[in-house]
Amino acid sequence: MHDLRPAAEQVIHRAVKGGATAADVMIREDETFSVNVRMGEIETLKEAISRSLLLRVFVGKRTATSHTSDLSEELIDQLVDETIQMAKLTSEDNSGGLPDQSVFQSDFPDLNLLDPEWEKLKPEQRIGLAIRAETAALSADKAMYDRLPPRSGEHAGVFGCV
Amino acid sequence: MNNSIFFEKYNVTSRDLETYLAEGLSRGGDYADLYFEYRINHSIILEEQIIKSATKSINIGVGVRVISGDKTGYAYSDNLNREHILKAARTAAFIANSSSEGGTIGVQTPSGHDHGFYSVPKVPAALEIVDKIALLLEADQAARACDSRIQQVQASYVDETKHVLIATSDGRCAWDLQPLVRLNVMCIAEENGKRQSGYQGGGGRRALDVFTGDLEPKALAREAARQALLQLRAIDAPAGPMEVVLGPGWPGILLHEAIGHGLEADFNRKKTSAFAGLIGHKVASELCTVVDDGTIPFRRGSLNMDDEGNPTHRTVLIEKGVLQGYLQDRLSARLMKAPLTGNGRRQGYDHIPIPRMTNTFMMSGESAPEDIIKSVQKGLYAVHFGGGQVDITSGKFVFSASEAYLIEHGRVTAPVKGAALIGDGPTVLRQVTAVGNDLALDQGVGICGKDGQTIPVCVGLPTIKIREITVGGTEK
Repeated sequence: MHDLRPAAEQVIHRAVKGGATAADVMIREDETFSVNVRMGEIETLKEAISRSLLLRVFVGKRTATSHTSDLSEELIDQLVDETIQMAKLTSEDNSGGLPDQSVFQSDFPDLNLLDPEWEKLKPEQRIGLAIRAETAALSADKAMYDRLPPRSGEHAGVFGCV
Repeated sequence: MNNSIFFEKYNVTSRDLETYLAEGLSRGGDYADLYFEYRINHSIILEEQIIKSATKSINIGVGVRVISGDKTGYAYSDNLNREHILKAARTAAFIANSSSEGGTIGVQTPSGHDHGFYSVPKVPAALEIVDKIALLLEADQAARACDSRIQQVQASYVDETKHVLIATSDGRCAWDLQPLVRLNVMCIAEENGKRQSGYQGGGGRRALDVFTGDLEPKALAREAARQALLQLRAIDAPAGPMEVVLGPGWPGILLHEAIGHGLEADFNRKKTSAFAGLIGHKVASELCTVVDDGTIPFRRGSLNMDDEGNPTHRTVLIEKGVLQGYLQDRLSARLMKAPLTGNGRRQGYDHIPIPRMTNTFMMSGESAPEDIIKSVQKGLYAVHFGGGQVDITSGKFVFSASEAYLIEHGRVTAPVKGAALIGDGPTVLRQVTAVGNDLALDQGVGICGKDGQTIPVCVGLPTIKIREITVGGTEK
């Protein structure tokens, strides 16, 4: 993980310089690893590291947000300006605005939510976990062999409107 | 535009594509492809009579897929620098484990798409925000002007401008530019402490010129208001099995859920669909001909090429009740030895393509819609749905009707609220006893989710009568 704070501070600085009266920014870095196994074999394996930036600006009581997966400086500069321009086109919203500075928290207690062992897992071990789970499901009942649908999540839906 | 943004702005060359693909196949593997995406979305929301928020979102990246047998390796990068893409290609390559040399790959001179189903003079991303805001304000005013009982209006405008470039290890290279716009209006009507909502939306692969006629913001707003007001006087829905007539257009989601998903090739290749192994068999009433057609100009589900670079098709899934074939992506088509249908789709560069629908509908039959209604003694007439879902393996579905009426002695009578239709796909199609001559596609609001990926789709249906379907009513 990179230290993302300087980049975030730079974006805030840029936004304020560009005319924002307040702004907040979130930069995230995600590491994705997913494996689907079927009948003891890998079906799909997916891996990536990605970053994205989420910016919210206020111009008085007006606000706009933007998001980008391209963190190049040139694009961010342009996006900051566009976001400020967009904010100026929205309506004044009395219930909008950043929370008071006094309630802003940046020093969080460690809730022990990340298992450090997890990061040490090699891809083969992660794949092994999926295969173990599938094997256990298959051996739980004879019916699982006959029907062969060990993959979960085969639901689909269509949603209309809003 | 006569060249892809990836060549013009990001200086990607055919040579680069060849290098990345070769890296993808460096450990063996049967096939590799690259999916470059540059997507700009805008979203503007009106609430409480003000423009509450405006958002712009930029997504750029490339996905590298390597197929080895029936295994898929996938990696993506949101950075288009050479080193990042090569690293993604190496990661995806790991799915194959032979040490054979990949050899060289020749990528053809990049060509545009095969069709031109949605060329627009100016892409949605380049249009003025003020013009988009004007649509929302018009909708808000029109909805409130309908009736003093309309207490709340929410309207949203979203657009997408998506550049795609696809290169494959079998030498193909194609690009596309896909515009998409949508406007939704939601109204809440209130009377004597009762609150009801109504929705209407529309759009397509166009620019703002799509919002005319029935899709004019005023018209969408009035329709949303009408539905909300109607629900105020709706009575409880009856419960139990009964004859059901579905109206034209959006009720096609029943077809999408109950039949469409079950005909996606991945579920059938793995034999997890209720329709697996039934090609050539009668699966529906002979009145039913069901089609998936990605080639209808400007429609929300249309594509010049699918997300694997293959041209879209008009695919007859069921003809006069007999199952003809499945919706294929590349992997399933190869493993099932079936022809491609141009249905490999993905949410974005960070997702693996899977078989998906485009515009899916039932062809018109011969009955006049009014005759269909006249033929029902006691039943339900459902014309608008909120949404639904299906379990692919069992084929069981449930839908909630947001606008439905009783049919009594051949006449449409009282509106009912809270009716849910419950059934299973294979059964319901066999029970179709009349098909109207009034096929309509929905107005361009469908969002379909599968395996955590959402994509735009379109559904359609003529008026149809189903002999018996279970209605989950609200009557006590």
